[in-house]
Amino acid sequence: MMSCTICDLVKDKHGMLFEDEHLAIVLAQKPAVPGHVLLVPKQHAAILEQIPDFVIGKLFDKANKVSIAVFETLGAEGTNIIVNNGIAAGQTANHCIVNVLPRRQNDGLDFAWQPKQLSEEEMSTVELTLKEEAKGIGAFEKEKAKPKEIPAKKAEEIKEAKDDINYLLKQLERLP
Amino acid sequence: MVEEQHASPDEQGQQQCIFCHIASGRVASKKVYEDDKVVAVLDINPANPGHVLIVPKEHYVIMPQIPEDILQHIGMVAKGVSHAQLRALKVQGTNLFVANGVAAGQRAQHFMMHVIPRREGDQIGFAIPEKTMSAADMKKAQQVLKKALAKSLGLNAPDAPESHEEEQVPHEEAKKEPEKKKEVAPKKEAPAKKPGKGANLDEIARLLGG
Repeated sequence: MMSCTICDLVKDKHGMLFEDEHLAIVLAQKPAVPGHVLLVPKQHAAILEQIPDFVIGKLFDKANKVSIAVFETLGAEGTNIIVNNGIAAGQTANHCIVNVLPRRQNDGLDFAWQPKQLSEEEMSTVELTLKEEAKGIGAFEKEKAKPKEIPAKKAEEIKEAKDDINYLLKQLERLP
Repeated sequence: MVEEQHASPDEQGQQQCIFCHIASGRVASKKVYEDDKVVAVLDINPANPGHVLIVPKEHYVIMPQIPEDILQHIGMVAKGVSHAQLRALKVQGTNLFVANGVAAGQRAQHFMMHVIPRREGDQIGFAIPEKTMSAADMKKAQQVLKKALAKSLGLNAPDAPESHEEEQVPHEEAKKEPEKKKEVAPKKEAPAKKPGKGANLDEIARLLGG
C-alpha cells in the first residue's frame, strides 16, 4: 500500500486539534490562510465515496464546530467548507479531506466561478439523468451500536421468566 | 441596525427567501432529490452542467445555526449526490462547497451546500493555495484553536452525550417519532455576543439579510 501523508500526520498527531474513533481534526501544514483546518476520516479513504455515511455526517458536524471556533477566536468574517473530490476537482492528497478556511474581506482567496449558460433542453437532460441516479440516495449507513452489558437486574428477570416457562412445562408433564 | 417592530429579521427573511419557496415547491425548480429534511436542486447558474444545491427545508442563514442532525444529513446526501454525478454525468471529480458569510462568497440568505461535477481542465478555481507558516505561528494557532474547538465541541460540559439504546430495547422504537419536533427548536439564534472579542455570528447572518 502507498504511504499516505494524511495517515502519517494523524499517526504523528502533528498539529492535532481533536480526534476520536472515526476522525481527526488537524491544522493544515501548508495553510491557505492562518487557521486553515483539515478534517479527515481515520480509516484511510481516497475519495468521499469510500467514507461510510455516518462518518461523513460526523465530519460535517465537526466542520461546523471548527467553523464556530474560528469565528470566535480568529475573528473570521466567514468560512468556506471545501472538499476537492478527485484530481479533476483539485484534490492533491490521496486521502479525502474536508477543508475549513477562515475568511476575511479581501484576504486574496477567491472561489467564485463563471456561471455557464445552459439551454432549457440541456438543463432538463441533466435533471433527468441525475434524478434517475439519485434514486439510490437514502438508507444511510449508521454507526453500529456497540455491544452492551446486560444489567444484572435484567439478567435476573430473564432467568425468572425462564423459570416461569419451566414451571408451565412441568405442569404440562403432570397431565395424565 | 434598524429594529424590526413585528417580524424578527429571521422571520422576515424567510418570507422573502427564494430558497424557502423552492424548498416548499412554491417556486419551480429542477429537483433531483428530496426528503423530509432537504431538497437538492440544479443551480440555474451552474459552474458546470449538473451543479447541484443541497438546501435544508428549514430556513437557516449560516451553518452555525443548523442543528447537528440536519447538518449530518446534508453531508450524507452530498455524498450521494456526488456519487450520482460521478456515475450519471461521467465526470472525474466533484467539489463540495459551502460559503458561510459574505466574506466567504455567500450571496443567498439561505444556507446551502454546492456539489459541483468536475472534469480535467475545466478551469474552475477550487485549487486551495498552500503557504508556509513559521513553526512558532503554527504552534500558536494550534494552541488557540484546540482550546476554542474543545469549547465549541462542548468537551468541558458536564453532561456527556447519552448513548443510544434503540438497538437493545425494541419497545423504544415506537417512541422515536416524536423526536422530530425537537429538531425545530434551535431555530432561535444565540444571544448576541459581547462586542470586542471574536466575530458576531448574528452580524454575519444579518449582512446577508440586507
